[in-house]
Amino acid sequence: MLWLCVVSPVQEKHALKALASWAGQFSSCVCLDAERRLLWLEIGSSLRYFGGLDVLLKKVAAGLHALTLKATIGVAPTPEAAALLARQPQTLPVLQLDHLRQALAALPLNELAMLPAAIAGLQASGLTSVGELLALPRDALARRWGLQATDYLQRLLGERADPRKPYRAPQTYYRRFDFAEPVQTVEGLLFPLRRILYELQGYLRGRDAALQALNVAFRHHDHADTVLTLRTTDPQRDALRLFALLREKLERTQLPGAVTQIRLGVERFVALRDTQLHLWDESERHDASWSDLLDKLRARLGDQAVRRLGLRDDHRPEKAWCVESGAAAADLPPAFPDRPLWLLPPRPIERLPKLLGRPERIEAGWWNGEDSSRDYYIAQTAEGSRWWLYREAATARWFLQGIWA
Amino acid sequence: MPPSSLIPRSRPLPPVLQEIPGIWRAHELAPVKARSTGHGALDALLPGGGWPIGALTELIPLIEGIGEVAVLQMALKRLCDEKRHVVFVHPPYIPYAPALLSAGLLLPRVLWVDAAHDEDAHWAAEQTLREGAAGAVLLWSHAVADRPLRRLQLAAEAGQSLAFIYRPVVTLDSSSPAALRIVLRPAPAALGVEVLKARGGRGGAVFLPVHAHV
Amino acid sequence: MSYAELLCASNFSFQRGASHPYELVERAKELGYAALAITDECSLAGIVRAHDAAKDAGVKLIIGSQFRFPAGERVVLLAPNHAAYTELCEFITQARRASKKGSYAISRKAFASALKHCIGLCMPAASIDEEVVCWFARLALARHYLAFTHGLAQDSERRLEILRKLGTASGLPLVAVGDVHYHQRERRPVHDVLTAIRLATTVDQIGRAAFPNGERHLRPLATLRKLYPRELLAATLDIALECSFSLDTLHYEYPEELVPAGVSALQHLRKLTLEGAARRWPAGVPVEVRAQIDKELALIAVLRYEHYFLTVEDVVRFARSKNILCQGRGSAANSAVCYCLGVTAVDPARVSMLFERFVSKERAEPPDIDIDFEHERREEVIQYVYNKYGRHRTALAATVICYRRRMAVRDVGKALGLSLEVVDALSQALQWFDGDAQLPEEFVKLGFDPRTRMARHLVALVKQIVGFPRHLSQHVGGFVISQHSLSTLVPVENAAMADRTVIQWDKNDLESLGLLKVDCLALGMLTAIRRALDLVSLFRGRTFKMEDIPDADPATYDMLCRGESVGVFQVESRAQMSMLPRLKPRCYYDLVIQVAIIRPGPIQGGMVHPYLRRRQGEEKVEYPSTALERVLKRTYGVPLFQEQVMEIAIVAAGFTPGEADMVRRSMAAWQRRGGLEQFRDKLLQGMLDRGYTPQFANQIYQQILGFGSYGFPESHAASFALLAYTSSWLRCHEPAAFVAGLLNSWPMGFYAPAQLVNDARRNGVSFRPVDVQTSDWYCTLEPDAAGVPVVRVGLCMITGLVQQEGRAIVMARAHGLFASVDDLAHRATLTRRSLDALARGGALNALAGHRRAAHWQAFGVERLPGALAGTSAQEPVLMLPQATEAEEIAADYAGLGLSLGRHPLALLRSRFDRLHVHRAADLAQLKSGRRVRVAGIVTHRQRPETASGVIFMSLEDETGISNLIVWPRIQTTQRAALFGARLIIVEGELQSASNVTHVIAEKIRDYTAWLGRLPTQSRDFH
Repeated sequence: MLWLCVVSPVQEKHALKALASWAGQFSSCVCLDAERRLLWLEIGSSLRYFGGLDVLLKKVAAGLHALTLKATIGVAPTPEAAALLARQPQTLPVLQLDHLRQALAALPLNELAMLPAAIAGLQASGLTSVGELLALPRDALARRWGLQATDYLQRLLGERADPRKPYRAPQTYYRRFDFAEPVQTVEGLLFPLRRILYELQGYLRGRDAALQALNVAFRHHDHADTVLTLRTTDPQRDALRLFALLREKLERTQLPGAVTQIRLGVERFVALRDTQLHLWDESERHDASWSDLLDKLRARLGDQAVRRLGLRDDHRPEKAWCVESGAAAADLPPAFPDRPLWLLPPRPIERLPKLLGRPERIEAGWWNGEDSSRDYYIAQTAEGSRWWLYREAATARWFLQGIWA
Repeated sequence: MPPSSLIPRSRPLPPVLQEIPGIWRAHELAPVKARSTGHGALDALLPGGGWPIGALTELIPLIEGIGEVAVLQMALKRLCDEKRHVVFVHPPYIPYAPALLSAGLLLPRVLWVDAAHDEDAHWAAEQTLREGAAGAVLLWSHAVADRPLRRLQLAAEAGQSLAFIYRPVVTLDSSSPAALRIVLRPAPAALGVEVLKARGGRGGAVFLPVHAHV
Repeated sequence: MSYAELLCASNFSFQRGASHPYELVERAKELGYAALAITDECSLAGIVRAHDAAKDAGVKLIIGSQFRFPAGERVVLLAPNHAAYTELCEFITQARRASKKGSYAISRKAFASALKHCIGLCMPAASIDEEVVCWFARLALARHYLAFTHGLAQDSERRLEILRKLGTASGLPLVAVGDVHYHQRERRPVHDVLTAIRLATTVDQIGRAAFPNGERHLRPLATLRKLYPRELLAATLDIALECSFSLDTLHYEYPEELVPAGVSALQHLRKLTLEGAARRWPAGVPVEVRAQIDKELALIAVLRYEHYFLTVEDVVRFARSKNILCQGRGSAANSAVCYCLGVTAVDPARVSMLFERFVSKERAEPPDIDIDFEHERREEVIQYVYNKYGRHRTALAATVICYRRRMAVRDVGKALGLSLEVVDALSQALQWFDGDAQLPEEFVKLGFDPRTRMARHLVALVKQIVGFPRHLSQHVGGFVISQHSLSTLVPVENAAMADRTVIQWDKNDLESLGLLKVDCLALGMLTAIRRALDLVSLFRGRTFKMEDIPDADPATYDMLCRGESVGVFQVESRAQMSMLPRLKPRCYYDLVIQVAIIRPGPIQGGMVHPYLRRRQGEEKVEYPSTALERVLKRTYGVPLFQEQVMEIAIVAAGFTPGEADMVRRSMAAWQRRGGLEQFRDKLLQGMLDRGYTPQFANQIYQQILGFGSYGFPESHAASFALLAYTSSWLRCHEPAAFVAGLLNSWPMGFYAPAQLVNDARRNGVSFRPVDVQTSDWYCTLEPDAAGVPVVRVGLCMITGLVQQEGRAIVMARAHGLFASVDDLAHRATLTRRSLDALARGGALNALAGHRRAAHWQAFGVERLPGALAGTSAQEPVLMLPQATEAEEIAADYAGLGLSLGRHPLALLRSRFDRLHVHRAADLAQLKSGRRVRVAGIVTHRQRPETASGVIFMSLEDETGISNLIVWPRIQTTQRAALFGARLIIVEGELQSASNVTHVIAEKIRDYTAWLGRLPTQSRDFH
């Protein structure tokens, strides 16, 4: 076995995972240690496929370069040795176990993946290099820092097997389709889209999952990408259904120019099991048709036109509500005082109708320069309408902000 | 050829026949299905004892701000309690979430559909009614013609929901395919509800205390 | 109709109230309220301040507290009479003691069982629960009311209706309350910010946790009349009328058990005093002392302070019986009686102080005596006090922790939604800045526009919140002891420390109400002195006590005059050190002055230089009048002590002693909220009437302003000077014992161990390295070949070694030296941690050969179970390379905090020489005014408030310490090197005068990298 170790310059777990899935193109056995920012590729078995170590290393390097990652690489017969080498600038690949000791001897101690206490202890005792450490009697090491330390050295030198759990495929879906010639018509886009969606459907089936949001980006030659986001009310996995929704959306979208590339991504999946539970829980046949309906309304009227209402915890009437983006309603804050059904953007009024009762005073917003002090009144117009008015303290002007419908 | 479902099952009667209570058509012989309005006096006035299910109710407030939506509150609240949705299509102002909540309409059950124009609004209301996915649809319409109303009436029949359409006063004298037509007028500390037309019922008027909180 | 506010939280309802008690009181007065109740949440912490302010303003104060149930309903308890007040205190105590620090626990059961005399107001929650009202109505209170607040909320009217119905049903009358949280509407933003702080969120996120409007302030009567029905307003007056209790009527009783049966307290005190006098003057008490004693006892008898003196005597007697060094200081401490009782060692004959000055008939408050104990043994004293009087009669005074600017910036910034990084950066930057004017500048530096709304809000809010109480903490050592259960007098709550309780009042509150407080403070220097004395005794083979130190030793004063005072009590700071050669102390009283002169009072009052000039005969000593000559003679006509300034007010302006003392205590409050003008007029008029010039009168006024808050009392300086002399003498004559005593008592004082050791070595003290084969836990003295004491560094200096393990080594060694590291580990049963610490500290070097081998062997110690213990296999010896000198020194500093090797800078000297850097020791020989370069490790940074922005720095090299002065101009341009560097080279102008040498920094360069891994430590003061 031969291991290639990449020290990733990125630290975020998702980026490391992306890197690991990327690495899948070079090896069927990719291992990830996110803590240590290390990625291992077993390359012994793929060397021939790629045409030798040099070619493979070049490809990996070029690939990393393409990802604009400045990662360092080490190659050795054991994962830990490869990791150690990878942490050093400019090391030569070590291909045989016999050469390992010598190759590691000059390296500094502090890169070893031993307990920090052990490293510190060794350094306190005056040791600086791996060579010095390897020269020590193993039992003396075990006595001081336990079998963990000697076990590590054995794995480092290949005296003991070092089995690792391979990294499994990522949980996100991403697909890209490049056109040889820019596509001018929507019809021209539909064909590849349908193909991709079928692929996606197969993928979803394989994973027993569904999706609720789908991003499609169209690349143009001389314009910014057109990005469409398709959201469905209920989890979906049916390609034709997704296709129909996407098609409707696409037909209502003005593309700025010819399309050179389609990218389709799904960030999150819903395990279908959970979805079914959810559906059964509702027990109403209406819900299935309800979500169909919402999708239909959104497709024609636009996402923004189909709204759910939510509350916001604020004294100021115009800030006490919001359009909920998600499907779920937030926890309801404590009850509000009585409020009119219709809320209006405040409009000044000239003739004051009859005021009923005492004012309700609301003062807030000093922190963002919207400090207002208002006395709210319920008023009755001569015609019999009930209005919600306020008098702004600063200007003594009256405004209409609500109607009791 | 249009899909079979689009063939009108109930061709509108000539206006003259519509005006005469007691004229029944074959498929309407079944008793009127209705939901209680929550107001005993009003229920008593309405055929079936409430807001008709699967039929269009037309509401014509003489002015706004008199409790024209509040009159529906109790029926809508019950729908929400039954986990049904209430859809506001093209309302004239922002349906104010704190008020909805106070009225017992659970916010996740309320949908606010906005439309650029009447046509979209009617389309949305029609779709919603036809799917039968919502418990009630409230549509605010400027349409004067009765054709769009007929489509709604059909959709309401298909979906078996409560269907309310708010119409401007100018439509008061026009004909309407709605099963129930009601005029709402202000009254001291109350709302005057006058039944103009009730398919399968008689006319009449009641006063409801819908502004009790003030 | 007038109105009494019965529900009002001050800012002592922490993070809920947004006005000081005095602001509320004064506003209530302005508005013409008939009375004001301060009802903080389960607390009376602000009530004394409110009481004082109410007395000043002539407002009727009602004492009460409010309690909140989890469901939101509140109950307000008001104390109409003493019985109710006692009940309230006990109730709060119970609620507070049942919960952890800072919170309280109430239950319906507690309300039902504990209350009889209080008037109760019930404030139902937002959704009014009938059941709550029924429960409340059934409580056995003196009176019950339903409280109604009209907050201009939408439901206010409806709520009134519901309450009315409930009131009728339950038979409870309604009463109007304002539920006040601040004194005026403008505090709404402050309240919102406090709410955000309390909920750990930001103001734009608090939503409806904030009040909907600013109505929760003290509203004008006209507004209230419009909002509330008449009978609800009338009810407030009924209640106010019924509340007659005032804190003035609190009757505090001293504990009585110290007096034996059959004699009076005075007789007993006289007996103890005379016994003490006989010990102090074995040859017979001098006549004048005898007379003084009689006079003092007579005064004590009149003021009934016998128990106080007996209590202090008892505590001191206990300490002496346990060989705990202690010393009293403060007003009454320097009396003949205290001298006889052994409370202080200041012979009243040596200091010209009048007992009446400190204990006046007019002041209805107990004398103030602080007793300092060895810091490590104070706990024994505290436990003694607790045991003697019982926990229910003993508690610590509180310290009200108030918002300071940095904390205010941090909390307000967070509440305004600034990111943590910005808030941190801002409060960090503020560490070195003062004055709100600089806040905007700091904003600019952090890349913010100070004109933005955010910046303006921050500045304005911080300004208002600074000084707000934040939480209660425990006073460092002020005990309140009472004859009866303390909780009948003041609420008691839990402190952060387990088994500690604090009362809800702080020192000023106690003073204000005349409650007895005994201050048991911890003083590191006393520990150091006792240890040094013990070391001397042991080394010399005879008991050597503080009393054995000869007075007026010229060599000791010579040393001080040279400015050599590292480690000496009170005069070791760099400012003091540069003052010593100028002031040239030659006697005890000079030291009293030396202790008091480097203080904000004299410095801000511009007294230092006139005093020095007059003392050196460069300026004529003049007195404005013969009357003042008596007051000022001992300080050459320049007022230096707090007492002198107060006496001037008495002698020159005709103040009574009581008034003068009022001036001292109220100065801070007056400067904050006005009241100064009145005092100023009285003082100036008084002085003009007595023939002083307006200029002189004005000068005195300015001095009083400066002294009021910062002046240092002669009575404290007198006691401190004794310790300063004692420690100086030890430094001069027993330098080895002295430095060992300091090291053994560290942390204390101004200097790190390395600096103390370096200083001692420069003065000829030799040290021997820490070694498990010879070192004790503490540093000890060993004789060298010539019989001169040498310091053996103790195990206590080893970083990370716990005392228990260190002592185990010493005990195990009693059975013979250790054969190996293994042997040591097993015989002393050391943990791996301790072995590691010993190896790092170098204590195993002798045993193992050198530090690296020590580490290797320490790691190799095996823990075998049971019978196998100590039988681990012998390992072959491993040859490990020895470390370099620089590595060794770095390791010494890391593991021991000091090194007996060369000073780190000695290793770098050749490099410094190439850069033409002077040694610290050479500076004194150079001509003043020339340009120099010095290098050193930064040991201190100081920016005294009195020095108008100047930063003083100390640099240490292998030859000594050099002092830098950094002007603000340099600070702004060379900030990074100034505040971040550990090793710097400074270029600047040398200034020397009267044996004091400074470098005025012009260029500062950071050479920290040259130190490698050497850890150093600078103590920064601001």
